Amino acid sequence: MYKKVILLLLLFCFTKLSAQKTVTLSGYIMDASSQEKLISANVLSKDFKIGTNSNVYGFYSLTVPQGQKLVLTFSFVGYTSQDFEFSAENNQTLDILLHPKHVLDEVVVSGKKDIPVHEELQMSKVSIPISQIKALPALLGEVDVLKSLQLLPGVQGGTEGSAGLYVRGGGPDQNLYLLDGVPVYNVNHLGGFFSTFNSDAISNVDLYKGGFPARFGGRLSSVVDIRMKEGNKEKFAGEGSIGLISSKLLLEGPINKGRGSYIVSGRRTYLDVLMAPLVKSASGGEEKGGYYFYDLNTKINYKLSDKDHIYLSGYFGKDKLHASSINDNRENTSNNQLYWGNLTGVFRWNRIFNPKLFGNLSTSYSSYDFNTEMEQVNKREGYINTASLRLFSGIKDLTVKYDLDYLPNTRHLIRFGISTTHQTFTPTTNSFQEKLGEDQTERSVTLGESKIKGLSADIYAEDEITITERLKTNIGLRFSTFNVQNSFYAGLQPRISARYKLGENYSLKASYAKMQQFINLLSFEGIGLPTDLWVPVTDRVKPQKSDQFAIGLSGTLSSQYELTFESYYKSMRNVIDYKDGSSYLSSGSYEDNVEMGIGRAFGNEFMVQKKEGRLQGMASYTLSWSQRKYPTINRGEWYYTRFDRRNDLKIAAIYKLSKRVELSGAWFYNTGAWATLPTTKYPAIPPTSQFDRPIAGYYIPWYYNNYIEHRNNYKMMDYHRLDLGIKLTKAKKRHERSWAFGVYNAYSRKNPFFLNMEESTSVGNQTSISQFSLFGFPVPYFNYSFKF
Amino acid sequence: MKQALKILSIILLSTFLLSCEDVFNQRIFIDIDPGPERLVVLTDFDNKNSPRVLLSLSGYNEEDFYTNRGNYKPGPEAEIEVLEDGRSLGTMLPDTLSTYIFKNNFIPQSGKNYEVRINSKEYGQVWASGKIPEPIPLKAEVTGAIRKKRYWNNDLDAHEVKLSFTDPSGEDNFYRFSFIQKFPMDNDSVTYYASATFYSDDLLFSSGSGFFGESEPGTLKYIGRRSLFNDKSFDGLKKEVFIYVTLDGGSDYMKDRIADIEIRLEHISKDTYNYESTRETASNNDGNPFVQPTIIHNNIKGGGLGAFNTYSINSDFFTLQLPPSK
Repeated sequence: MYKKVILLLLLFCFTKLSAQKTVTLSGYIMDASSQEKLISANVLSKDFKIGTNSNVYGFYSLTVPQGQKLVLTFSFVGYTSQDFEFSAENNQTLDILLHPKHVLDEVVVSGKKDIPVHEELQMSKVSIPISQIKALPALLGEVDVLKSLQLLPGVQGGTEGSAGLYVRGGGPDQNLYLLDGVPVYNVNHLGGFFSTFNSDAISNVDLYKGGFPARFGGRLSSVVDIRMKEGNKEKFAGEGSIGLISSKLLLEGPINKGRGSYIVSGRRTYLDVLMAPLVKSASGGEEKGGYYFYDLNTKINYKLSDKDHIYLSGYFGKDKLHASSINDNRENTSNNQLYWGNLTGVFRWNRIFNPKLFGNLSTSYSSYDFNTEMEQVNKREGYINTASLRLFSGIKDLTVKYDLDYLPNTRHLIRFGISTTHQTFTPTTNSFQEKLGEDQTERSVTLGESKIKGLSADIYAEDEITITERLKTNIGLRFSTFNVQNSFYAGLQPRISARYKLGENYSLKASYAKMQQFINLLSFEGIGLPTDLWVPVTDRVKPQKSDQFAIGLSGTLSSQYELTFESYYKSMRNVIDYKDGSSYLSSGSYEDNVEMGIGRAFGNEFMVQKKEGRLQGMASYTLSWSQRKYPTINRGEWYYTRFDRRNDLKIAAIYKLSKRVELSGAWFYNTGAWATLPTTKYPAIPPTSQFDRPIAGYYIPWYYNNYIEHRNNYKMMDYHRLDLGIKLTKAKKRHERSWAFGVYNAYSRKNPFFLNMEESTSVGNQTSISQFSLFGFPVPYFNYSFKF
Repeated sequence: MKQALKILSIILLSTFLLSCEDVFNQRIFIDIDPGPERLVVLTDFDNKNSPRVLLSLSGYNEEDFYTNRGNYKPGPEAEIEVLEDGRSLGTMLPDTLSTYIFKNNFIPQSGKNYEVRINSKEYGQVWASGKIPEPIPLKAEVTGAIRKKRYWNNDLDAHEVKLSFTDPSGEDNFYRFSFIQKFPMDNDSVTYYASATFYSDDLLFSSGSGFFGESEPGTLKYIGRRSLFNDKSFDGLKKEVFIYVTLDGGSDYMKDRIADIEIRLEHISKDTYNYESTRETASNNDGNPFVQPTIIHNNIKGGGLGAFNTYSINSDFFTLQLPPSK
């Protein structure tokens, strides 16, 4: 099977690499005001019906027959398209600067926008313009990239307010979050209410739900590819905002007359500062505590020559929750803190070897760790008792990779690359130390697993082939290996996707992707606290694998509305779940607490999207199923996963009332999530044990069992919510300022956050639960932002 | 334009104010549908006791405790037929509230398969079956060694006892230790039953784990009075287990300072192991939100709930002589 695929791949690679003379036009496509590189911008020759897109570094290359005269149109969403006459005599390098459009002028601007969805080969990929993400109403005014992705079909959020994603029936551990190509392991702040990605510093967000090209690997369900801005090469500029719980500041500017640029963006919450006096006065001065998080994104890039460009970028983020107390006579004190954070750094070197060959070398580092520290000190006459507890978990990656784009002619875009990653896991380490009594006897214990090291290596190749004007395909293959402890795993992952155009405005698409995952996230779904532990596969827990098939129809209506309809089926193997009775806080080996099984997810997705004009927005609907089956969990029978939501409908709209006023709204509806709850009770102790009482030597209590028919047996209330916002912008001579007001959950829907069992004795055998909401009321927000 | 903004502001403000009263009310109560009432069947079939079958109903009402004088809510009138290796042994007769017995004091035999069929008008036929495993000989020896067990601020003497038995090879086996202490109190007219406290550091016993030292290697952990385990770590081998017994509670009142202790090794069926282990896990974790809920094993067929437990019992006895009371 694999031999045939490789043969087919090679066949397509060299098809039509004919002797016809060609010339190549190449360069970068950039924003004219800041020279920011534009990703996936479109280059099209209408006469010759050929075209290409800029890659993730803004580089494009188009090879055409020699001697022709062409008119090339360069376009990108939100920018005025530009035509360029090109006489194909010799290879030529051309950097294109596109000017941003003023939205209110768009109604009179004609011409093509970015790549129409029916032209694009890639299916199951969605991009939301960052401008739309920023315009939508947000919880407490904190614009969140990941929450915006929850608007898309096939993507569901976790509990109320959480930034977690469940893509096409996959779990939160099956999403690969890449920030400038570097994996980010913990994407949550404040228990999951906010993501770690600061929208001010981001230039582009792409979500892949299926049809994964071979250049991506390592997770089963999705890839969220986030690219940071590069910085303004033209002038010193900045922007910032002051909100209810946090403030942000971004500064950017040129280096050495525009040969390079830098960008620094920071964000910090001040809940701790605001709450400190309240906590102190409420506790009579005995307690202190608070919570904060901060982010810092930095990036520098420099053009060494026309062919060489280097980048250095980093992300630092940390959350800290702390509480301490001291009693009146200062005899007993306690200090508790919980902190976690990510650190990523990447050095990239882009090289244009020739107009047809573009290379990118990356070396990156990514780490995530969380710590819990608790200390209690009791002073007694003459001596001090001290007890301290520390829990630590973390993961560290060091990666080197090389990616190449080769464009031999207009019919092929070949991407290939190689990478290797050294990983160090610390699943959980608990250490306890105490000093007791007058002689300060010391005792210390360390429990949990020590460091586990793993080495992964990947190699891939894919070819985007234009077979005919109507038929385009991408065939690829990825080979991944992982070596951990005494286990070695390897797997071939074929990928194929195709697009067939039906007339001018519609196309049929289909894809197949095999994916493999070597790490698992042990996560407690109820809260987003860092009880999340990243652990590698072992000799007992095998790599997760999936096969996903998708078929779809894409179209463009009136050149403004993009429609997509997709159906998918995903089967999964070696997925893991907690066994009954397993504790999420267990310090033992994780392998003892989980079980491996199979999963399946299938569904239909529909989306209509409008990216330009006064009214912009999207509406999406998903009908889906997601199930798991394990040898012993749920008696070995299939069950629905917690976030299996049958119906999922979302609508978001942004309306530019005038140059100064922008209205926005978003409405979410989905079927309630599942929960495992006892529905009744029944007697537990057999009569021999009751009447033949010597077993316990005393009267056996009147025990009852809780009856749970199956896992996830209870469907919570449906979730729905309306958010509204208004943004007022005023442009001054040298700067622009805006005020944003809005409300989250405008009509006070009490959506379930968690459930608690209650037992009512007054109504016979009826069991009751209390359902708690987190934001079951309208949460207003306010935000002031400025730009210069 | 200004008018539109005004209207929007008024709508937003009114929505917010209207819902203010609900701001702090983030909790709502929901009644869960308990589903139809189910017949509950609970019984132990072992090689030492005449079986009893208890019939009850699902649902919980605290008043049942008083109405039924401390017993479970009674089940319906029913006919209970018992079969041994497919051959009918006749029907059981009602005894006390909700329980059925054999009047001839029939004792089941190990190695045989038993089935109960319960027919009632309200719940149709409900049935369950299981085989009583072969008894496994157990030997208990007091070694004379004593370890110290820190209990609050006292160091207690923990008497070492070696337990040994041989696991049959070629099959999955499941066991339960029961530790029973009998001692006569000073009042000769009554024999009280009480329990000693049993500890071990053998990996067979999982209970008693905790962060603050109980799981520290080399320390003795509390193992309860009944402990389930399987033969995964010693399949087909002779197993030796060291336990440590302290006689703390009430030992000052013991007549002659002698404690008779019985150790039972119960060779239990897989169904019994699954029922008891899931029940124990569910009970231990009740109310803990950080634990995955447990579905309790059920081997009652035909829509019933409960447990049909089968096991064989083998006991050994030993005596501990305590030092004179202070």
